[in-house]
Amino acid sequence: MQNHLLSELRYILLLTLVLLSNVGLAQGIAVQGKITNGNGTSLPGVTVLLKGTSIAAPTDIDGNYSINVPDRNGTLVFSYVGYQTQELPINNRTTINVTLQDDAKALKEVVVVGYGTQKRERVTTAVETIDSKDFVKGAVNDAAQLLRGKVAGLNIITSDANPTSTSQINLRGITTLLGSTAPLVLIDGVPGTLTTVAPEDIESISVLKDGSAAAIYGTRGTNGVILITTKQVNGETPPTIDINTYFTTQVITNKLAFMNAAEYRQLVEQGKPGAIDYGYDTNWLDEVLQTPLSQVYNVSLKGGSRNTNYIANVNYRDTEGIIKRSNNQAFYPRLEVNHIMFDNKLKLSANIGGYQQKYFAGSDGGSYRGDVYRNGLTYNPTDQPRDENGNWVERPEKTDYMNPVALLEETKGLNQNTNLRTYGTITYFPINDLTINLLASRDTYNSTRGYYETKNHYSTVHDARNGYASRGTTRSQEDLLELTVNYDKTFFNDHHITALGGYSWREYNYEDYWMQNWDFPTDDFSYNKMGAGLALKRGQAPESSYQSRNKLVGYFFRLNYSFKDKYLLMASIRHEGSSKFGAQHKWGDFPAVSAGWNIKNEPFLENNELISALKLRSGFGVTGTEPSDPYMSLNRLNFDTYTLIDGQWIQVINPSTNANPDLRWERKEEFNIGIDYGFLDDRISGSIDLYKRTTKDLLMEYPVPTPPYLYNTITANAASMENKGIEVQVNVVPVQTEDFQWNTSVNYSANRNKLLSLSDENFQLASGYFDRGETGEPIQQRTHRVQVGQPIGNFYGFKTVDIDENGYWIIEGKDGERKPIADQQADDKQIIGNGLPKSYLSWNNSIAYRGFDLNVTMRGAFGFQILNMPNMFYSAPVMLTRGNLLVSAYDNIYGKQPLADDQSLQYVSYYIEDGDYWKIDNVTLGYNFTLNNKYLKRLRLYASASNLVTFTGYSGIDPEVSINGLAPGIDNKNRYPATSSYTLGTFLTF
Amino acid sequence: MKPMKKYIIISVCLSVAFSACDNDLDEIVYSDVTEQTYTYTDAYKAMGIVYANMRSLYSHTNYYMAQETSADGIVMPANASGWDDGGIYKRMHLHTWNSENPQMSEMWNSLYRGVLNANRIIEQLESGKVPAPSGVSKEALIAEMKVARAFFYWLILDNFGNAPLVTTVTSELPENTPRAEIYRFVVDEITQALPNLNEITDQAMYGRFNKWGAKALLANVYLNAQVYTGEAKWEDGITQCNDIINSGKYSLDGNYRNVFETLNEDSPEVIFAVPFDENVATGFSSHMFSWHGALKDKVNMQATPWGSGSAMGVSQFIDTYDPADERLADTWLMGPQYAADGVTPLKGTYDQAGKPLVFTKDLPDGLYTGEAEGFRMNKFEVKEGARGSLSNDFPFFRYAQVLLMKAECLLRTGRSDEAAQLVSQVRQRAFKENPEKAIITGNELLENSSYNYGYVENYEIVDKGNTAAVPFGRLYDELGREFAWEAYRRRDMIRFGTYTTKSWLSHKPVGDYRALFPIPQQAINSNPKLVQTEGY
Repeated sequence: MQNHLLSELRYILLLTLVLLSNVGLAQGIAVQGKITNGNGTSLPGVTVLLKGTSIAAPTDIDGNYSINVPDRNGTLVFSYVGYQTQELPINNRTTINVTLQDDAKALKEVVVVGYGTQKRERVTTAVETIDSKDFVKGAVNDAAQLLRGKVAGLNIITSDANPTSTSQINLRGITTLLGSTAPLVLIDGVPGTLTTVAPEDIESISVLKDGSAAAIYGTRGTNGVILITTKQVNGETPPTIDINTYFTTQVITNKLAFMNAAEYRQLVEQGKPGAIDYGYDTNWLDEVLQTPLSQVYNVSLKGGSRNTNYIANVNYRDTEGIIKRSNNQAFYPRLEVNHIMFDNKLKLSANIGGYQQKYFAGSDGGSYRGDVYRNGLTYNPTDQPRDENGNWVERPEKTDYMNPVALLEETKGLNQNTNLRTYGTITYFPINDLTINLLASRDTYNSTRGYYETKNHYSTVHDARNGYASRGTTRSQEDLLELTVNYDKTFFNDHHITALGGYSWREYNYEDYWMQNWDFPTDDFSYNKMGAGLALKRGQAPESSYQSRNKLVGYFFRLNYSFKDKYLLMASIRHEGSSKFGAQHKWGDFPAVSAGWNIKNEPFLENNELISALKLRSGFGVTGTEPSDPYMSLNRLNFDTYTLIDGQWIQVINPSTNANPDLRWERKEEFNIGIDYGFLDDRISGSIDLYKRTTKDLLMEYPVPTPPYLYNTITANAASMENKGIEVQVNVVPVQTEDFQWNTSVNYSANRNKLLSLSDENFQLASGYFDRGETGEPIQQRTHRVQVGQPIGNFYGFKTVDIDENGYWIIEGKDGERKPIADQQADDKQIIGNGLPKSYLSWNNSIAYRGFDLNVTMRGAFGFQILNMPNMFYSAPVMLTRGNLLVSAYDNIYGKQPLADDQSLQYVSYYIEDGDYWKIDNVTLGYNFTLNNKYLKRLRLYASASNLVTFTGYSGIDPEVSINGLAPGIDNKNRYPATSSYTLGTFLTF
Repeated sequence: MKPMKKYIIISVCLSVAFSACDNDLDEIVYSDVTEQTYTYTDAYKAMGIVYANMRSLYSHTNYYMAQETSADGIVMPANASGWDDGGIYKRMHLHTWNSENPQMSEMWNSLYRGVLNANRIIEQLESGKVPAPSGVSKEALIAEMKVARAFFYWLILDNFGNAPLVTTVTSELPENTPRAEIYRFVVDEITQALPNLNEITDQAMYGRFNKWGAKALLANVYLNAQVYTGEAKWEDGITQCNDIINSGKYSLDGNYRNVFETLNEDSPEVIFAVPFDENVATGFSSHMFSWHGALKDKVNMQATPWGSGSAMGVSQFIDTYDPADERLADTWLMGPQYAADGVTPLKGTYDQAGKPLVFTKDLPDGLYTGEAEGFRMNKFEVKEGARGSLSNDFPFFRYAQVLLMKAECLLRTGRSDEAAQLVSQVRQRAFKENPEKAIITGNELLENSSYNYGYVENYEIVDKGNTAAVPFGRLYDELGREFAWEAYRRRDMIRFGTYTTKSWLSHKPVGDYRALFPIPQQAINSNPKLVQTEGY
């Protein structure tokens, strides 16, 4: 396969070179010159066009051009992405030097929307496009982090610093319960994930926020759509090499104050139950943490002629995590070749990319084992990692208590993932205004996992595994075929229509194999010789394999109409079928309409100096969600259970789930109203959006009664939910001079979520609630309640109000009276907080002074609570029997006295804290050198700090905790710790 | 217009090309089979799931420990290693459980899962979708499944009282059926099935209901009939027991421990067992929730018991044993503990950290104990190298129980001497060294229980509570000792009137309604037709 791939690559390269050598030469009078930008930097790749003709030439690597024109009376048009286009008459000159001015506005002129682009002034939906120059600078792990704090309503949460984890994304609240809350991510039109492309290879990202924008994607459009456009090459471009490289290190944001050996010994002296002095002094956290160094290199080569151009991008990232051994190495190659032929009537584009990734597997199948950090906090500080004989010290009789250093050192693990994406488009322009586009893609993903715990690992000490190995592999393939026909025409000057029709076919196949084995004769095999273990032979170890397939087929149509660019209308519909639904419910229709009034274009505002942009827009759209798993509508049987029949254990038939033949599309209806504004030549600009999203036929794991159902849940469409919110974006350019420019923008979003119903004609949840979230052992309580009339994310537990003279909690009973916690009843529980932030605010600043630029991103989340799990477990004296505690464990509660030594752990409101935070999230200082070098065109150095300072009342390590799912806002005790990171980087252009 | 035509043609061609894309949205399964396409060939493969469902009753938060820890023999207190879990075990002891205690939903779900699978298979057998193997009649298999279903319904009516009686495959939400009506259904179903059941007692029917298993089940139902309906059925109980005794198919095992050993499937005493296997049929883990983690080294286990263990003997219950009763040591793990070599002392980890692990009888209370307090489970053999789940089969109905059921029916109908002979017969193997102690007289059986009931604080009984004599008290005590760890104690206490009246350890009477468990909140929440058990 590898060889085959290489030969394919070679072929494409060869083809590219052949085509490159075919650049033709024209005849006539030569006009030449040099093109620079405001900083005096020469600009390669600027298109110089003789107006009204197809005669054009690009600037070379030094910014020089030479164009042959028939005579000296024409006008030259100088255009370049990101700069204002200039037109200059030749006026008999033979040398014309030009300085192009930055044009922030020009960039915003066109936005990427579903299946195409649109002039911004014609957009009637809530769409935000962020260009690469506005991305978050500094170290990022995935595409989402580029947008952190940039788009109102798009909340990007990085809840830990695990180098393999990706951002959590939440757009306009939680609208779906069962499917993922992550938006649909399309990379150049092909579905992918936030890590499908290297962040440094991204040109721009569009976010389709409202339903009327997303509805054209029908399926999976409910959480919004993120359209990633990779770096592009347009028109004639001299060969250009861009290099972007940076180095990052991290420090833990906050070390929780656990007792050191001396503090712990005081407890031993006091005879506290469970305190044992082993006579040593170990800082366990330091034993498992490291000072990581990460490196990222991005090299791109682009170039080409008018007819054929290419871009090759190579990205290598070697990331280390703050926990020892945790890492992530990825290599992202991408090659794109475009070719225009048949008198510009046919455009071909071929793209091959993907990644090869590998990282240390600290747990079976995963990258990080949560017990490492937790035991780093809680292992007895008077104990030692190894005894005098060099053996690991383990205390296996203690619950959940493992030597964290041994956990790390006695594990061998490697996960290797390969993603290969090949796609191509054929675009045909049969007549003016008509575009037929065919997109075909294949995305294959392979993952091979190996994991081994040696005979010195806890698994042998505790469970006599005697060497434990696991292997797994996954393959998935997603095929996509899309045909779109687009017609774009202006009639009678004032009427502009764009009509789009399309067909989409997508098939997804997933295969997985997995086996474990233990009791190996030697550690030397690691996970490489699974057959050498004995547990599989004894019938003890599990093996599994799985395969599934699902399919989506859609037809869609969209019509845009604008009259004089003043009155704008859009209507679209997608008719889509998914194999995952019941036989009678496969197809759904997802319509959308939106309208806009571009008031600025009305005669009464046209010449208004104050108002530079003003548009009202409103839309309504329906999007759909399918469940993540297939086959939920089928009566599936398994043979996983054994019964003794006639002395033999035979595999018996067991229904797998409650099948739901009525499973159908979840539908989200969204109403959006917005205004785009600009004042003083857009020195002040922005938008305000109000939305209301109602999700109906909500797919969820619905609680059903046994009997008549065999199991307690069924995947069904029996709930509805509402989200209402506001998003405000304000961009201001307070200072704009030749040398000094300051751009500042503030965005704010607030969302209110409410569960409307948990019943339909087939299912009635009489209680109006169900509980989710787990405290884990030894509390074993649900943390959250999902309840009709209430928002998602409510913490539900006992409300502590006091502590009694013996050190036991006093809680508030259901009648409002105080009662000892020992007398708790289930119905004494109440809502004690909510883990979902009600509002987000961010403030971005970018300041440019001569060659310097300074970017400061600040952001915060407000109106939510966090369950401080480390506090709940380790500030309770009773846990001293299981290891070390926080220094605060013996502090007075409610200013009265500490908790009793035998007050059992309780999930109570005392551990729910306000989570509001404001972060100086990113500060980047860069300098662009003024160069006059033949080869080096651009040199930029920068230093950056991320997650720098957090202002919060929260006492845990970082208030930016997971907001996923139905149990948001838990600061898990096993969480991979959060970090601040410091980066040095450089950009070079040759 | 001419070029336009060309393009239309091209478009049409493209669309045709696209129609090659398969728009069929039927699901194709690979690693699953579906009811719609699967062809049943082996009836036992279909029926087996009903028996497999019985295994889930034995987790520490299901039927098994609900029967034991709500009664006076076993308690699961918290300790330094944990075992509070939001008070779910403590509330069983205190009779303050609520409808959200996981024991309720787990019991309910496990029992009804058995019922629902039986309903489906009975219909599949009747329709011929599941064919009977050659040489076996369809009626025999249906009868067997109906008895299995009656078994689940017996436990449902016993634990929950008025509960849904669902006998067909349906998705309609059911209402409660009165307890007495479920009782009649159970009796009728077993009675009607008996003629079609086989009498085979070898391994072919091991773990399945033959005629004798069905009769043992029916005898148990009759034994408790008065509790279920107000009408006693002592004579019917005797009839069923006599049938089993007279069949000569079963006998007392010469050695009490053999009935509970790892390979106990050969015991002549077992009438109906729930078979377990440490690898393929897991779920029996009494050692994991009773034993201290250090006991791993006692038998070189391949797992470490959870924390310092919890399920332990109530000291007042232990006191009812005659010191010469060999069942004391055969049932309870007591005193100092050693590694497999028999000499290396095992050590404590928490409040006894570093000190030798010595299990002591007396408990400060039933809520929180030291890590070495309380006698632990020793009834089921924990074999050398045991895993987290044991391979010992759980003897649900055994011959000793048939004898003692008959004894109780006789005793309650005035034939105490005849009863005493049966009780003495069972006691014999418990007093091999002191055979004279095995003999008990009819009059002795009628005496009050020797259980020293009373509320305990800090190791001492501080409030005797209800001191009324327990009728047939010595038989009651005998049942306790013989069947400790066998999930009988709650039912026996209810029948003898002590469950909701007496105080033991930290338990005080809460109310007679506690003789039934509440319907799990989960079921009530999702089925508005259900009415909660009275009192909850």
